[in-house]
Amino acid sequence: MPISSFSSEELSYEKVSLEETSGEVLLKERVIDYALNKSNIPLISQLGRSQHGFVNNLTRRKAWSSLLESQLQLSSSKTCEVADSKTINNNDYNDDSDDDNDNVVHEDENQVQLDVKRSFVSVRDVHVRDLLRQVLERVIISVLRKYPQLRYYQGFHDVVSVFVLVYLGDEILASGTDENLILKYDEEISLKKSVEIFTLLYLRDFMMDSLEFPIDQLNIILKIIKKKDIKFYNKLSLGQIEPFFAISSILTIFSHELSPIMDNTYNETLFGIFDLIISTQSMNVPLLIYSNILLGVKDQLLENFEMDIIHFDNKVDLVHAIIQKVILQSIDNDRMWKETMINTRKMNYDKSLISLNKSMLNKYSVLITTASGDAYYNHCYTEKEVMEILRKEIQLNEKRNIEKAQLKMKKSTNSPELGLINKTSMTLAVSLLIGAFAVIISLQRDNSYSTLFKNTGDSLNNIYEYYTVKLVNRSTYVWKQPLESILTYLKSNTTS
Amino acid sequence: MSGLRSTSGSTNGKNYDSIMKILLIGDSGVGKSCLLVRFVDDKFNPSFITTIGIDFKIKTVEINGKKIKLQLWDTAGQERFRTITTAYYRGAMGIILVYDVTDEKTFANIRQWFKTVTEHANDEAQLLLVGNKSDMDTRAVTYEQGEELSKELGIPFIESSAKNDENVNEIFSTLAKLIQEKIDSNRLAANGTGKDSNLNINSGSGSSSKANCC
Ligand SMILES: Nc1nc2c(ncn2[C@@H]2O[C@H](COP(=O)(O)OP(=O)(O)OP(=O)(O)O)[C@@H](O)[C@H]2O)c(=O)[nH]1
Ligand SMILES: [Mg+2]
Repeated sequence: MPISSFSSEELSYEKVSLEETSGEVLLKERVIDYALNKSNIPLISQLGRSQHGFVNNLTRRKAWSSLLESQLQLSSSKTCEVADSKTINNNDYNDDSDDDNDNVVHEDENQVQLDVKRSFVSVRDVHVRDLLRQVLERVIISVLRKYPQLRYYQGFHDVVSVFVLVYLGDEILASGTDENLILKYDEEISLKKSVEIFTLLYLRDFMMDSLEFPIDQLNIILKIIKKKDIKFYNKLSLGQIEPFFAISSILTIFSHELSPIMDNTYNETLFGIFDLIISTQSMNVPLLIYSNILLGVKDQLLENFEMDIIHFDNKVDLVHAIIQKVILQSIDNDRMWKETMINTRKMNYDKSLISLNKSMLNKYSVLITTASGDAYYNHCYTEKEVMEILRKEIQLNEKRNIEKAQLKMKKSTNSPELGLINKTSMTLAVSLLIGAFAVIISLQRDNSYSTLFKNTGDSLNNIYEYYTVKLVNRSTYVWKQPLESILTYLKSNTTS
Repeated sequence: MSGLRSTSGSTNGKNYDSIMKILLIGDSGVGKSCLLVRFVDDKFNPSFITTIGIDFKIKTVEINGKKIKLQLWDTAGQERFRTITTAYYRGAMGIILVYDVTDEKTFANIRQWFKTVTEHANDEAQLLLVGNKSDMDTRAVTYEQGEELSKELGIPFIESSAKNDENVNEIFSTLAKLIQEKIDSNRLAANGTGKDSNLNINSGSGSSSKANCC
C-alpha cells in the first residue's frame, strides 16, 4: 500500500485509468504531452506508473529520455538539476566522444554478433529485420566501447532491442522496402543515450564478470514468495533450490519471453513493464512481477508439481520444468498480465517487501543505489558518482569470485598435505599468507601486477582485508589454502 | 531412420517405459538449440533465439519397441552461465558435447567442457561428441580431428547438420541406446530382482545402480 503523501493522488488516478476506453487513453496521451512540454518530471513519472504507461511509442520515447536524463547527468556539466526536455540538446552529449575507447574493440563483441544474428526473429520482413539488427548492433557496441569495464551478457541484446523499437521502430517499420532509408540521426543519438543511462543505472549488476550479483537478485524472488505465501513456498520446496529458472526473465526484463514485436504489432505489456521501471527508478519491478506471476499461477504449479514429481530426478529439475511449462502457457494471457501489473504497482510501494532483503545484496547493487525505487520521484546521479559506484561494485564482484573459487577448491581438494595443515597452528596459516603476499608483491615489482589486476589499483588491499577478516574469524577453509587459491586466481588472470 | 521421432510426449499418465535426462552443452553459437529444435519439432530456423540460462524440452521416442521419454536440457553457451547450467548436470544420464566444425575455437574448448562434465556430472553419464554444421564448406575442423579427440576422451563421435537434417536423429538414438545398454548391464550386475518393468530415475544422482529402488 502507498505510504507516501502522494498516495491518495496515486490511487485516484489508478481508479480512473482502470476504466478502459480509448478516450481515456487519448486523454492520457495529451496529459503526457503537457507534462513533457512543461518538463514536469514528477508528473511524467506519475503518468508512467499508472495503467497504460506512456500509451504509445511517440510519447514513450520522449518520456523515457526525459526521465532517464533526469536520473543521470551524463554531460560534462556537473550539476544535477532536473533536465529540461526542451533545452536538452544532444550537442552536450558526446556521442563520438573523444575517448580513445570508441575504436578499441570490446572483448565481448564476438558474442554480441552471435546474438544480434538471432535478434528480432519475429519480424518477418527481411529488410526491416536487417535494419533493426544494424541499429541494435551499433547501439550495443557503442555502449560497450564507451565502458570497457562492463561485460556483455547474453540477454542484454534483448533489453536493447526494446529500446530500439521504442525509439526507431515506427520509422523503420514504416520504411517497408525503402532501401535507402536514412535514419534520423537525432533519434539514434537519443536512443544511444537512453540505453547508456539505463545500462549504468539499472543493468549494472548484470554486467559484472560473473553472474553472482544477478543470482543475489533472483533470491529475492524466493523471499517475496515466502513472505506472501509460506505454504506455497514450502509445498514447492522453494527453500531447497536455487531460483535459476528465473534467470532469463530477470536478465532480459521479460523481453526474452515476451517478444517485443510480433507481426508488426508491438507488445504493449512489455513496454508497460519498462514504463513502470523507468518512472519508479526501480529494478525491484521485475522481481515483483516474477513473484506475482508465480503467485498468480500457484494452483497450476502445485497441480503440476504433484503430477510430475515421479518423472524427475530431483527437485531442481522438477521445479524448473513445471515453472517453465506453466509460465509458457500463460505468457500470452492478457488477463494474467493485467492482474500481475496491478498487483505489482501496489506492491512496489510496500517497502517492507524489498528492504527486508537488502542484506542479501552487495551494497553497490542497483537495488540499493541507482535503481532502488527509494526516491519517490527520481534521484539524480552525476556521471562521476555512478562511475565510482561501478568501480566499487566491480571490485566487490572480483572479491566474490575469489571467494567462490575458494569454496569450490575446498570441495574438490582434500589432499593429505592440506589435511595436515588443517591440524597445525595459526602460525603456519599466517606464514602461508605472508608467502602469498610475497608472491604478489614480487609480481608487482616486476610490473606484471598491473596486468594481473586490470582496473583495480587496490585489489591487493582487498585481498589483504579479505584474508585478515577471514583469519580472525578462524574460518578453517580459508587459511587452509590461501596460497594455492591466490596462485590459481593469478594464473587464471594471466592466461585469460 | 531408427523409428525415432515417432511419438510426441504427452504430459500425464505413464505412457512410457523409461525416462532419460539428457543435456546439451558447448560454446555459444555451435547449434545446440538448432539441433534440439530439429529433433523435437523437425524445423530449422537460421536465427532461432539465443538460449539464456536453461531450456527444457520433452520428446518421446521408441527404441527397440520401448517408449523412452527424453528430458532434454538445452544450456546457454556463454561462459558466465556455467555457474547456473552446472546445477542441472546432476542426474544427467546422457551429455552431448557440441562444437562447430567451422570454428576451431569451439573445438578447442571441448576439453574445457569435458572437464566441467567430469567435475559436475555423474560418473555414469554417457557422453557423446558432436561436430555440428557439417553442411558448411568453410570447415575448419576435419572429421579425422573430431574422431581423434573423441578417441582420446573415450567417447563416441558424430558429425551432424541441423540445417540439412543430417545425423540429427542419430545423435539422440545413439545416445539413448548407449544409455539403455548401460542400464541393462547395470541391472544384470546388480541383484537380479524380478522387477524389470520400469526404469526408475529417482534413484538419486550419485548412485551407480539405476535399478529399482524407493
Ligand atoms: N549452416 C548451419 N548453420 C547452423 C547449423 N546449426 C546452427 N546453425 C547456425 O548457428 C546459429 C547458432 O545456433 P544455435 O542453435 O542458436 O546455437 P547455440 O549453441 O544454441 O547457442 P547459445 O544458445 O548461444 O548457447 C544459428 O542461428 C544458425 O544460423 C547447421 O547445422 N548448419
Ligand atoms: Mg541455444
